[in-house]
Amino acid sequence: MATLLTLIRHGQSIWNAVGRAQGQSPIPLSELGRQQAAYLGTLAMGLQPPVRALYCSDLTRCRETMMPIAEALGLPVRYDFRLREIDVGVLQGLSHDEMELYAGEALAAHRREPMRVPLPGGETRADLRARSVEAIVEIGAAHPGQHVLVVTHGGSISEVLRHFGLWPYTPWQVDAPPIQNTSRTMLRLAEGGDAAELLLPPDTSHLPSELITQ
Amino acid sequence: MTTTLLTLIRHGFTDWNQTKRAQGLAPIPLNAQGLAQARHLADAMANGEAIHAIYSSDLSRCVQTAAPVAAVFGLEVRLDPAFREYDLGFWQGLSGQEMQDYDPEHYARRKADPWHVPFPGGESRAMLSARVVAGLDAVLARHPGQHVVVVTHSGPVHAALRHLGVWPPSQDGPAVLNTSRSVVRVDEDGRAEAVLIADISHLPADLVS
Repeated sequence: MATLLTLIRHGQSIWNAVGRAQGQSPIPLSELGRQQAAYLGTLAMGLQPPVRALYCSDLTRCRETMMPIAEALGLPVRYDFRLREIDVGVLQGLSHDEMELYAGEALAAHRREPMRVPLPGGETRADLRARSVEAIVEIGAAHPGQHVLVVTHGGSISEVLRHFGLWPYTPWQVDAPPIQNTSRTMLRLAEGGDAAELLLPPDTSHLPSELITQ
Repeated sequence: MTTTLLTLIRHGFTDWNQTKRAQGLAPIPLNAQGLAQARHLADAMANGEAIHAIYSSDLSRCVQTAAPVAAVFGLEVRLDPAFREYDLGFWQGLSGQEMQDYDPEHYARRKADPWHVPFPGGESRAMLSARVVAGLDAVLARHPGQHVVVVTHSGPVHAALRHLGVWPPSQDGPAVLNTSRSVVRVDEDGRAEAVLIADISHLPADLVS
């Protein structure tokens, strides 16, 4: 039986707000991010069929985003390091400008072949995709016929979508639909985990417009 | 008895030093103040003991600090990743206070036992010391009786001074400020004597950081 997956990207973190590369750092939600997350409890309670299980990246910004959902649904949360964002290696903490100025060549090399060339000291997109998909497929296998909600990262969501042929955009394509903070993406994962259908591309209709952030 | 003179230098000031973001392996270069510090350092060293070789961490803030010193003596800077700063792992870019605020449990564990407990996803003091000591041993073996300079970071300077026995291993060490010089005489049996520890007398007061 297929599994219904609701994938939620964490709320705005402090480094999202100032444009610094986070990778697997323990940066918490910003005040705005906490406000965004507060809308997720109501969202989660309204989901049909009802959510039966919760999975979460173990990074702080995801844990904090999951809290109102877990509280609203009264379900335990299972944390999984495989649901973490890409490890950005030695670029962690750099602003966009700093990355271009001080690591321009390494960044360009990664962008030319993101699946093969790692971020300096970090992961390739293939690394991210492999562990994200592994976690999602395992979730599917553990929850046949159920609706599962997962809080994770933008990179993770995009790689899962790409793996199933549902996202024809590169990670830096400027005209790609954004996977915004607390956006909800819905997939139907086929039994066996080798195919998926995109039921809802990243959606932020649960948020008032002034709380929407990239 | 052959005595080697070892000068350990911490790199100059960077923007992240200023905003108290821990750099680790981040490729942050010297800022204008750091470049000025490096020039003063080179001028001071030009008037000191001639150097035979200069090594440096391959991180840009060290390479930029080493360059003017090397130029004074017509030497090439020899890059060695053994002299890199701690890999701070997933705490790179955080201030010390943020590390404590955002990851209090790991912070406490590391504070209690920095030798064994690594930065999350990064290095422990034991790991950093192992590579710094290996790097230093190789340098000393290559330059018996000479004056050799190593441009590196705060973590490695502390580790080196502890290893050479010129700083008590149980304490955190002196403030190793930007472009500070620590000079140690090492004999062929590895016995060391401190000549200067974390000296910044080459800097005018308004350039000290």
